[in-house]
Amino acid sequence: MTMDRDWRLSRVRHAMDVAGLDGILMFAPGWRRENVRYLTGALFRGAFAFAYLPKVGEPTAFVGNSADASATREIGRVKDIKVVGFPEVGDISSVIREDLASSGTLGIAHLELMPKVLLEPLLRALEGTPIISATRLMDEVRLVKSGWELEQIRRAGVVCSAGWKAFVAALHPGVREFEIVAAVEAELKRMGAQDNFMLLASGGDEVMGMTPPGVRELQPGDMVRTELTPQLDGYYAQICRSAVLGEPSEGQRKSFDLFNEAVEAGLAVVRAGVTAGDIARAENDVFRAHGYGEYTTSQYTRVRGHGHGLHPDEFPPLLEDNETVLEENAVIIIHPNTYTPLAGYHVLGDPVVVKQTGYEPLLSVERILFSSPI
Amino acid sequence: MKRGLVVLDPSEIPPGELEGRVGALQDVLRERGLAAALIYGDVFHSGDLTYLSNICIYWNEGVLAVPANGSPAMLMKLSPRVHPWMRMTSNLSDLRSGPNLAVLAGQYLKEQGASELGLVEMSWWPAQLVDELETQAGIRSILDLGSVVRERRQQPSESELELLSRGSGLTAQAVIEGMGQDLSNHERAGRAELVARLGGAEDVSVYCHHCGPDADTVEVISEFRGFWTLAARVVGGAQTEWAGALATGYEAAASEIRPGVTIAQVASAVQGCLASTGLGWKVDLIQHTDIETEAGYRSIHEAAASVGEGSVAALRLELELPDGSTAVLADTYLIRGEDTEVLTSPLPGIVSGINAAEKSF
Repeated sequence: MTMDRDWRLSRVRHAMDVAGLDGILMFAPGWRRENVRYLTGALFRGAFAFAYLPKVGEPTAFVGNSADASATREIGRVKDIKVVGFPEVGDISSVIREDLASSGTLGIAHLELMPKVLLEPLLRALEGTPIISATRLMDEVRLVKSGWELEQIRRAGVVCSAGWKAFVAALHPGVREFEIVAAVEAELKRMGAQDNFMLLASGGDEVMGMTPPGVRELQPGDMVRTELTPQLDGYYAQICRSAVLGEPSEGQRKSFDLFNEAVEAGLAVVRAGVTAGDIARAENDVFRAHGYGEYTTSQYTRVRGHGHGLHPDEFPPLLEDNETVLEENAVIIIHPNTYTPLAGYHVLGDPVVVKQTGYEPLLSVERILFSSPI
Repeated sequence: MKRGLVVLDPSEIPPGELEGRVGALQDVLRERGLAAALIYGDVFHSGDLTYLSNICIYWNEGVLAVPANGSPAMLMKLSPRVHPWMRMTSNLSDLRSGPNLAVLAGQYLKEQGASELGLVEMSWWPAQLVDELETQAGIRSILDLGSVVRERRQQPSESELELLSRGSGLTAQAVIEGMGQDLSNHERAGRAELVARLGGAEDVSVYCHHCGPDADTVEVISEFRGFWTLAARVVGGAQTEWAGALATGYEAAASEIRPGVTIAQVASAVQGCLASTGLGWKVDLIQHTDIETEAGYRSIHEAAASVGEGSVAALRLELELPDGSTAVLADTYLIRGEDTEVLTSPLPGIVSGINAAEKSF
C-alpha cells in the first residue's frame, strides 16, 4: 500500500513538474470522484470532496462529513483530513495559500465542473495565483495503473464476470428489461460491488443503441445487449456482450462474427507504444472490409473503446484520430459497439491490460454469441 | 447510478401535470421580464430537471431550456441516438445534443430571440459554464432565479404525494428485505437492491455497515419516478446501551416533527436525550428534494429553515459509537397539520428487538 501510494504521488508530481504546477487541487463532485480517490483511496458519500497535493510535502483531504473523514482515515493514504462545511472553502484556500505563498501556479482537476458557490470564493481567496485546469493532466496520470491498482481491477473483473452470468440467467420470454437489471444489480451488490454503470437494449434489428431499462417484455428471438460496469472498492471493470433468446438468426450470427473479428483485430495490435487510434483503426478496418464502414461513424456509435479504472469511462477514447500513446499497464476496453443492419445494435468487448508485447485479459467470460433457452 | 426503470406513465403523472409545473416557472419568468430559464443537471443532481420534464440524465450533464412562452427543450452532451428513448420517457420533442452546453444554449436562445435569461440555482452551476454562457452572442443579462423550482417541489401535489408515498413504501420494503438475520452486509445490500429495483426504482443507494460488534445498519435511499425517499434501521444491538439511547433520541426527534419545525428544534430534543451518553450524534431533517444529494446542495439558510405544511422530509439520526462506527435510524414523513404521517411506516420498530421505552443509557 505504501509503495503504491508513493508511486502515485511521484506520478502526479512528475506530471506537475512537466506542466509547471506548484500544487494541484482535485475536485470531486458526486459523479466524478476519480481524482480524489486516486489520492485518498477512499469511497466518499458526500456530495463534494477535495484533495490537495503540494509539490513537496504531504497531501490534505477536505471532506464534507465525518463518515467520509473516517473512510479516508481508514485507508490511511492521506493523514491530514479536514471536515469542511461546504460550500465553505476557507480551509481549502488557507492550505493552498500557505503552500504556494504568492508565487506558485495551481492546477485544479475538474475545474470545469466546480460550482460557482465553491469556485468563486476560492478564486477570491487565491487572488493573484495563476490557476489552470489539471483535468487532462490527471486523466493521463491515471491512464497507467500500478500493480496494486491492476489487482483491484482484476478483482472487479471477477465481479463483472459474475454479473454477466446473472444477466444471462435472468433472460426469459416475458421478463421485463428492468427486472433483468434488478437481478444483475442484486448479484453485484451481493458480491460486494458498491456501484455499477449499466445500459441495455432488447429487441431485433430496429435497436439503434442502449439506454436505461424500460418495461419491454423479452420475446423469443430478441437479442439483449448490455454494457455492465461494476465498481469494487473504487475500481471499475466493464464487459460488453449480447445474448439471444432461443436460437440466433443468421443475421445475428453474422453480426457476432463481424464484431468478434473487429474485437480480435483490435486486440491483435495492442501492445505498449501503439496509439488509441491504431486500435480503433484496426477495429474499423474490419467493418470497412465487410462493407459496413459507414456504421463506424458518430451517427451510429460513440467510441471503439476507452480506458477504465477509477472511472467507468476514462481517457483515452479509442477513436481513429486519437494519437494518445498507450504505455504498459494502461487498462482499456476494446468494444466496437455499433448499429448495423445485420442485427441492429450489437455490443461485444473485453477489457485488457496493455503489456510490452501484447495484453492481459481481465475477464473470464468467453466471447461468444450467448443463447438463452426458451 | 441511474440504471433502473425510467417510464412516463399517464396514470401516474396525469396529462397536463408536467405542463403545469413548467407553466408555474413560466409565470415567474413573465413576472420578472425574462425570456427564458435554464436548469442545469448532471447524473448526480438533476431533480429539478426531472420534475419539469421527466427526463432522466443517466450519464453526463444537460440543461433544460424553458422559454417564457412555448415548450421546453433539452440540451445535452448525450448522443442524439438516445433521443428516441428520451421522447418516449418525457413530454419533450425538442432535444439537442452537442459537446458544449453553452454553445447549444446560445443557439437555442438566439432562435428564441431571448437575451435576458434566468438560471435556476445559478450558484450550483459549474462556474465555467456560466462564464461561457455570458460570452454567447445576444445574451444581455443573466439573473439567478434561486431555488424557485425546488421550493415548488417542496409543496407536492396530490399526484406527487402518491408517488412519494409509493416510493417510500418501496424504500421501506428494501430496508426490511435487508434486515434478515444472519446475513452479511453484502447480502443485505443485494437483497435490498433487488426489492427496490424490482419495484421500479430508478436509482438506489444501499448502505449496510456494522455498528458495534453485534449490529448492522441498513440504510436505503431510492428514487421512484423522480421522487426520493430515505429509511434506515438497525439490525441487532438490542442488548446494548447505545441502542436504547438511539431509539429514545430518535423518538424524541420524531415527536417534534410538525409544520413549522426547524432542525434546531429537532436537535434540541435529541440533545436532551443523548447529552448524558457522551456519544457523538448528528440529526438532520432533509426535504425530499434534497435526499438525492444527501443534502449536499443545500445552503446554510435552507438547512436552518422551517419545514412547511404539506412537505415531505426525511428524519435521519446518526449515532457515533465508541468503536468509531455509526448507527443510523431514518424515516420519510409527510408533514401535514396534526396528521404527520410516517410514509415509510411498513418498517418495524425503530431498532429491531427494542422499543424506546425499554432501555435508557
